[in-house]
Amino acid sequence: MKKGSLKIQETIMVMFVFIVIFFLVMIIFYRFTINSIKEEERNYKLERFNLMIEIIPNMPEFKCSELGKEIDCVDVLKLLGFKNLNNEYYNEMFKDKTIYFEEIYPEENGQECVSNYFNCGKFIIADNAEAGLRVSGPVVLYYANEDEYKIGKVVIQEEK
Amino acid sequence: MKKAQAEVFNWIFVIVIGAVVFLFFVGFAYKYKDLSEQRNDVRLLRSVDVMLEGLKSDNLYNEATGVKFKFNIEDGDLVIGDFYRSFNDKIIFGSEIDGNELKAWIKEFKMPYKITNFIFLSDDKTKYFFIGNEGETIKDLLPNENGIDRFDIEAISFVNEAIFENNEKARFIFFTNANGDELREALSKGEVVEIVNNKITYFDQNGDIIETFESFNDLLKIGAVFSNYRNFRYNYDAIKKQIKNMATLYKERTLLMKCNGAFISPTYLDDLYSLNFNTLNDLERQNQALRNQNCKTIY
Repeated sequence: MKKGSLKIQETIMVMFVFIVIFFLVMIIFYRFTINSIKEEERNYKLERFNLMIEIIPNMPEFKCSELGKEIDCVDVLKLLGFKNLNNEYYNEMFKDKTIYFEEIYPEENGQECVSNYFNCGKFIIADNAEAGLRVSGPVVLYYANEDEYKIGKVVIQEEK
Repeated sequence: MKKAQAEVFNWIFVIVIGAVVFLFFVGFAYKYKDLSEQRNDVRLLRSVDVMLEGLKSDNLYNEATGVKFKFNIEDGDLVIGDFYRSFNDKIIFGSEIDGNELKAWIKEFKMPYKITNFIFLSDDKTKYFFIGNEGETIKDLLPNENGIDRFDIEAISFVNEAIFENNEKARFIFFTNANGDELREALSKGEVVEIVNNKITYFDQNGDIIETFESFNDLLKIGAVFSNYRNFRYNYDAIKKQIKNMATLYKERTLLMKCNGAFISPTYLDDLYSLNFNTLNDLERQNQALRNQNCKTIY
């Protein structure tokens, strides 16, 4: 092989290695950027999920009111009424979520309330998520017929 | 290989490799631009979301600045690039947002109990021209600080009085019948909606009516001020659906209640479910009567 040919081959090799390394660096950089965007999106979704703990008990569908003015509690009669809705709109809204309210004080009773609130303490709003993200927080449950307030919790689960 | 051949080969090699590297750089630049946009979209969505979630009490107004706000409101969702955000607990009125300032105002929608929250969105590049006297009534309902309107609203008598910059969008709200030359001139300058006698009418570019909606609440009129046809159409259906949902819910609740041993009639809630708003006052009276009898109220 002549010296000139050898030099050309050497140059090709150098260029080839350079380009391969260059491409690799770019691909890694690209993936890293994509991942960081996805991470940012995941964090945003997580933030939104955590916000649900504030949003759900404050929805007019569940929140207490007196002469049209909202009060900071969850109306048990509304929870029971909601169970009877079986509404497509809410089925779609909570399609990937499990949401329930549960009395924890003065009595804790995990029995599901269906048509009344006697001998039970759990009001299931939606039951569509087996596992995944979970958040819970305290709420005040109001029993209008007895004019009683009890302490409860709201639990929200969402499919990942 | 001769020296001359090697030289030619060298040049071809350099050009080919140069072209490959150049194309790669160009491709990468495009991809990177796309990625940067995606990142900005997520960040923008996040900041808009934070702002809207901050609007918790009735009648709050908020402004955000510092970034370029560019997004759409489509079928109740906030859409930024490939990302979107749905809102379950509020209904968003607005059109395309494109400006350096985002303006948001929240109002509780009650019929007569709370149905949902309405959020009205606008930017600093949209001017609202109110034509006709009833516009004053609607204008008075909108937020202002020390008499200065938070949204850019101007009352005019004729379309040719409307003055706005090239980079601004105009929305003409006719509170009188919009027809003839006035309508055509308004359509050539911006979007048009007519609000007359509790009817909200949208027009296409030719001046033909797209659809007329019955307005059963002043907040719907305000919604029409801010929304394009597509968004208003979607929201109108969503509101009616939500009124029906809440009427059913309150009816179910009422059926579980008793006042002095007697059941409470949910007739007026049935009317609401049928979107008959003529008995709203009766429902309010019934609610007040329950309170006077020391019973729990329906709502």
